[in-house]
Amino acid sequence: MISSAAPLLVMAILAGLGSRIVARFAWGEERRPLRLAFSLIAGCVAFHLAVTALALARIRWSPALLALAGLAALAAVSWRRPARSVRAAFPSDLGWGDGAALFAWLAFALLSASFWISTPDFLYHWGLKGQRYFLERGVDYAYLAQPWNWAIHPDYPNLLPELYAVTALVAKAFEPASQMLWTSAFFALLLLVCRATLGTLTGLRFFRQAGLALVALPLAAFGIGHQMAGAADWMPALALAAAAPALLRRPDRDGDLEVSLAAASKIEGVPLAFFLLAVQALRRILFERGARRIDLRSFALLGLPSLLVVLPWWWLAKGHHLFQEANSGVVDPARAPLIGSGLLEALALPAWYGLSWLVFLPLPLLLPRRTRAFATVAALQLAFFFFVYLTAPVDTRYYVVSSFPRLSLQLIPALLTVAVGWMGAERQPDLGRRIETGAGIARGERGVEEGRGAGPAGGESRLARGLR
Amino acid sequence: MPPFFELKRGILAAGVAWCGFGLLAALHGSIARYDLRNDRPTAPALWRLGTRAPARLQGCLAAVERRVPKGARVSILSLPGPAEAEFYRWRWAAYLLPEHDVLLEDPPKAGYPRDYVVGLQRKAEGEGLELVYEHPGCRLYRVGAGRRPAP
Repeated sequence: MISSAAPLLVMAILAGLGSRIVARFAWGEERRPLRLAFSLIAGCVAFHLAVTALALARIRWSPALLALAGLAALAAVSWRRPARSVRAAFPSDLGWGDGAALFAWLAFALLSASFWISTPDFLYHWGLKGQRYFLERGVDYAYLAQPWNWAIHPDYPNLLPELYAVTALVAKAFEPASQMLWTSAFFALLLLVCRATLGTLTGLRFFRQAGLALVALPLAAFGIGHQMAGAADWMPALALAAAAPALLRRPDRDGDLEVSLAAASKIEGVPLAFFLLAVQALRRILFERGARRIDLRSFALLGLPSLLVVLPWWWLAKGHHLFQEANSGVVDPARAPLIGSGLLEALALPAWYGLSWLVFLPLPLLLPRRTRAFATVAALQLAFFFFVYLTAPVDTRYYVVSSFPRLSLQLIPALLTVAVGWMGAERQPDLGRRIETGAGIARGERGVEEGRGAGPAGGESRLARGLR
Repeated sequence: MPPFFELKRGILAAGVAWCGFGLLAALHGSIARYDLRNDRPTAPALWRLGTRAPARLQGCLAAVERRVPKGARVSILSLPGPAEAEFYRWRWAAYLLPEHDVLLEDPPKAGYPRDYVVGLQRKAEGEGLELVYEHPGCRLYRVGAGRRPAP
């Protein structure tokens, strides 16, 4: 019983801490539905930074020390509380798509709690590390550095096993089935984020509901059929989906906290974070080119959370010689046919029920101006996967077949959300173009920027509110 | 209304129906596999916790764990088989012995110092190996001083 409650308790503590962090960012009313998801994301990243600091200082964890660190972090982020804070909003305007999503989530969550659909990688990698860190009261770099531990990806970022370890610390035992609640939580947050994004993209209820159902049903089917409980891929998927609204609206000066979740979760999350930040920074530069000077402080804020995650990870992994030669090598075009045949086999696997091809949605989504920034990030990440396949000195075909369906999970939820939202968007070419380029702002057309007069007759459209 | 509204609506409705079918099929398949979980042997790569084969290994390694000091280097020796059976038995053993450094007893790469060898349904042979425990599924050997390479 205690072990089952432990993940929930840890999640509640991290979300509570994270909500205070999120409160320090400027949150518009339209982003209220994202608040809950961002709170847990912020809490997880803050926890990761805290335990990384302990690893750098070579201090072992203890419940008292972690509680103290949590209280100190809470005091730090609560100091001089911002005057205006937007509360989290639970989904409203519920419909049939929400029902379908709830059914899909429950089916996945119940099966994952039985441990029957846990990923083999939980045993070979994430769970093993989590157990070890729990027993050693910290990330055990000496263990990771042993030459025979190449099999557990010693160079991977450690957020997920850290969450498993701290959950076990609270439960006083490592209970694998209860650890699966983390996956269910990330899946739930992913659905919340996709729902909120659809709400900003389209005002049409059918498209919002169908979009949510279209994300939830195949994800649950894939999660069950491909045994994805306990895997880390849900975290980059959540990070990309949470970053999508920022890429779809006018570039603003908020820090992109969600990006750091990608960097802390998996090794391919590091390039994903880089692509997200690079595209967002480029959009800001283009957007602010009409302004007198570029706000360097906002640029620093944009990348700071991810930098705080990536630099210590790189430092510790390099210092302990954890980077693996098999990760990448020289580009070998001779691998291309093997990648092609492996890809066809991976795409034909029944676990995605034919939807695996949606991983190539970035290509058509590059065409509409509105979705171009998001599609660029997704396309770059997809290209990165193929770059690794072209360079990794391993059995290429097996590598593609065994990893591509799982990697697709990182992209497909956000891609489906944006694609359905785009399908349901009312056409407003002028507004989209002006906001995208910032031309309206440069000319002082505040009315257009705020969506006034550009939406349908009778007032501001949801699209415009979403963009704002 | 967005352009081609009815067409898009139709595509999305068909997509939702297909994905709903997919989820039900995935649920059915998963439950059917659960019902058959102990009926046919599976390769170690496909083992799942709670089924018979890993439960046997778990029982054997639990007995080993009681006899091996924490932090010891334990090398796993097992029968080769299809689908990298040796490799995956080693990974399972590593998960089931988290307090120990678990190595693969792999002659071509021999040279890593180890304190114990666990033979899974296989006898270990070699100088300096002392049988210290026998279980229906495995044998535990202590590596003698002469056999232990310098770290």
